[in-house]
Amino acid sequence: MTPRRVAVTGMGLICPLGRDPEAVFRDMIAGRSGVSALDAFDTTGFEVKVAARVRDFDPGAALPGELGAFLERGLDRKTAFGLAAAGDALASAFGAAAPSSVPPARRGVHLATGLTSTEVPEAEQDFLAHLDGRGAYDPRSAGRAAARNDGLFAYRHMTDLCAALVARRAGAAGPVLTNHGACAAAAQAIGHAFHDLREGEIDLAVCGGFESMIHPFGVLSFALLGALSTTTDRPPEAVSRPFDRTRDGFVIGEGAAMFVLEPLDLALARGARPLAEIVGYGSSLDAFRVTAPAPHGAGAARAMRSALRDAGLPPEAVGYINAHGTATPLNDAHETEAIRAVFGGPGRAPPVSSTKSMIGHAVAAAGAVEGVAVVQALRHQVLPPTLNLRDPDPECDLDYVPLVGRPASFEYAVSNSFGFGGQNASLVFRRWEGPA
Amino acid sequence: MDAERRKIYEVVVQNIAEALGLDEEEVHLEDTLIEDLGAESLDFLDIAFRLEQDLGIKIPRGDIQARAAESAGDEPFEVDGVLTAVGLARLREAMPEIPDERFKEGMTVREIPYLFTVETFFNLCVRLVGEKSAVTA
Amino acid sequence: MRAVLTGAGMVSALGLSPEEVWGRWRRGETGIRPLERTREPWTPIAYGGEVAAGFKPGDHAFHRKMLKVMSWPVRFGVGAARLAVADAGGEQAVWGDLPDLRRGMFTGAALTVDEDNEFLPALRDAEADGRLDLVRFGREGVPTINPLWLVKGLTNNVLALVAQGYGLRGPNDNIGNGRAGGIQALAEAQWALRDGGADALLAGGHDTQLYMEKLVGLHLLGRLHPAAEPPWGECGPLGPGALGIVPGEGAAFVVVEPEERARGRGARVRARVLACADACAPAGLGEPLPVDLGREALARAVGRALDEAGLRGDDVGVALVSASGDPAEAAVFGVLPELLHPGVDLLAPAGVLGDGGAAGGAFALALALPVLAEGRHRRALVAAASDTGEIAVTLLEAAP
Repeated sequence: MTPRRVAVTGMGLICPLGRDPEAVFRDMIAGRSGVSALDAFDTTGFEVKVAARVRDFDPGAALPGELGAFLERGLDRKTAFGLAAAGDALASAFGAAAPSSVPPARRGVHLATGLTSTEVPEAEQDFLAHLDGRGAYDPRSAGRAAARNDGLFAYRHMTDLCAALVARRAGAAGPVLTNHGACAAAAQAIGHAFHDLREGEIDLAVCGGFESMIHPFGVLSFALLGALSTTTDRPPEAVSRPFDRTRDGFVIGEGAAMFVLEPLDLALARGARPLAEIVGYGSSLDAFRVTAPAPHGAGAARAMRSALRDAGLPPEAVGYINAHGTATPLNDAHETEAIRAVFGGPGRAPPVSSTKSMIGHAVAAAGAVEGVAVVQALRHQVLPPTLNLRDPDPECDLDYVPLVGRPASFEYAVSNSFGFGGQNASLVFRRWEGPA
Repeated sequence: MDAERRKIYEVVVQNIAEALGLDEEEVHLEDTLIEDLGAESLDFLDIAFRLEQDLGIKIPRGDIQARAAESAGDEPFEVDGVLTAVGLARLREAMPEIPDERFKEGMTVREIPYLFTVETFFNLCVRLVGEKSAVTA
Repeated sequence: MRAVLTGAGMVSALGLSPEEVWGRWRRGETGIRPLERTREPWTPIAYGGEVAAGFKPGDHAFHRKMLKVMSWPVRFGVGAARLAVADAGGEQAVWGDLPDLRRGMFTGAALTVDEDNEFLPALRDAEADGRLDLVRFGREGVPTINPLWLVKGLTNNVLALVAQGYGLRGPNDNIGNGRAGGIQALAEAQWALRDGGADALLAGGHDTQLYMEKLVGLHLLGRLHPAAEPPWGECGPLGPGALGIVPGEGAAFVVVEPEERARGRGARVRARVLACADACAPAGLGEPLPVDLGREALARAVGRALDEAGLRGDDVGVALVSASGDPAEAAVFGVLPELLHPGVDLLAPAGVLGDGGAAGGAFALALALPVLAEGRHRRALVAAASDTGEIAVTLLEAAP
């Protein structure tokens, strides 16, 4: 089978700047930040004081009856994000209609997420209540209590449940996968869906990522490794500063983004309006360290080269790179080195920006949330900026589109996502030049 | 070596061995953590944590560099990540256990962890335990 | 391009290679025994497929140092991957002549668990009248938690550690689809070979069901087997004794490479991969696996695999399935004689290993190799179903 072109025909977004991809992108190019004081819990005893939280999201209201009722019983926040974003994506692709022209067995779902979440009430209920007099954990007590409650405990540890629920929502009975590739996960999930469509395995995919770790234990897990910014002498919206000389770690974000992908010919035949095309996906392993990137960003460079090869494009075709750009000292220096190696140095490499400067790091969902920014950049021919980049690091010497967005004329864009465990993924998007 | 220093020495060697999956006999005072003993950045966090727990101290991250930078006073410690002559001299003073030839002109801040030896952790712990005792007394 | 399997490794309750497990299974032995390392006194489950004490993680870790961040399922996974490479001729033979970008790995994994509950003392010290005092927790508890806590919990640890150990830098994915993950990993590995993106890969899965949160969950959902005694013998998970899950653990990995390369390097070709397919039966909330939808999905996946291989149902002599003991899964996989032919041999490794979770499909995959090597059957179907309704199958053929 000749490889098919793959179109993005729908997208849904839940992020700290909002839920409407148009409004979110307007905020981004204006250099508005979704980072604010971390008020999800009392941070008095914690070093981390800021986060990029999703506000005004009511899972019960956001989701249809049965699911909403179920979620109100306590299903975790990130699954609610995922379901809501998938619903938005399907609605944007098909309106109120179901994608009835595609047989269910030819519809697939590829999602990505990270660890299970334990919020404070759950920690109290599941753990704290069952410590015996000596402070040891008493599983008998936990078992007895567990037998009394309603069984939601079991769901909190099923990270593939969201994919099953999205599959049901999309009427999908084809391949359904949940990717656990750490911070590269969502880009990998989108990449795999893209390949399945291109090779003719399926005719419709819902793909993307969902994540929320803005609870004490999630924040702590990154803070203990020194990965999060502990800056307190700047306003919250100025803390996330990728590529800046003074950067000191990432700001934790949350959210979800989902895409509907279809073969371009089928999409056009049904009268859909493509938002963009996906034309390349590449993935690599550092095979170096668990948390530190490989020297010279070698793994990152391999992922980008592999994605370009997959797309059949020379580096100079690329007009914009949405960087992983976490604002950790190591990532940004190594990613810059990797971009230089693949695209050439200053003046030759395309403009690069990190939207994490505005929406924080959505961890396993990052590649999907940032994918929406890339699609919007291609559609509007405007580059989103790297906010807070006021004191450039001499080691980071590329054009990072500092502070505010700017118009550009470009056809192809790359989105990078790199994860702990040394998993790297790059996607190549193409501007849709037909009638929109 | 007095009893207290002997005890600290044993704790340091034991914890470095455990953190790096080595036998204690494989850990020597003059060994560098990264090049000789195979440590990576995560292991520094792990070793510092273990020593804090066992010795009841708090090891501020980047303590040695921070002290060296502070001792440089108004003079710049580094420029664009490269240690200045003053920075290099102050760092050498803060790490007396490291042979002089290891402090090379043009050294970057990011290369400082490569200097660390087992003795660096030992000296750090001796100082912090001493400071703690002084406060307690 | 035909993908073949040239090596397999297992870490399980009944042995450390598919041959050992199959041999002992054939002799009527079972790995389901009284639990030792993981006994949880509050559950009615006193038996399970616990990896035997004979498995020494230190013998398999690439670096002894990394054991500190390796939870038990990660140790199983790294062990099984290394055993698979050894079985395929050793590190040099499998990877030696390949650029690192053409070496890949696909894993089926569950969430890595914090078996030691390392943060419990910090929680305890910050308790105030049954509530968690977050300020005290932050100030006093946090400094007592090892900073590598998150690293131990990373779900892609097996992928990361094995990639480091062998210098694998090519195609990769870590899939969290329960029992189906190990077979989906093989499917993706096969795609990577066909795409021309890799020349040798590892594929498989690893997991444990034998830890507190998982057992509480299964218990609450009423999905654990009620028996206080070892509940079944051979093929139990597919028979009338399928009254619930008997938990197990372990890992299995296979080495996948193009047939031409395998022949060229003189490798023993253990089986050809004829086809891979998957389908899903969108699960209900809290239902294990909807039987009707599950059967339909299984039929679709099997039909697609047979079509791709150009085979009919009666060309397949044996089916190895991930049936965990759950009655719904028994009912779904029970349809296989209708889908294939009435005389097909059905084997459910969970009957002697317990439910391997994300290792379940990989167990069935690895055990297909000694089953085919016996020569009674030329082709095997391997099928696995996740709790959320994903079904993955692969068709294997004995090497001529």
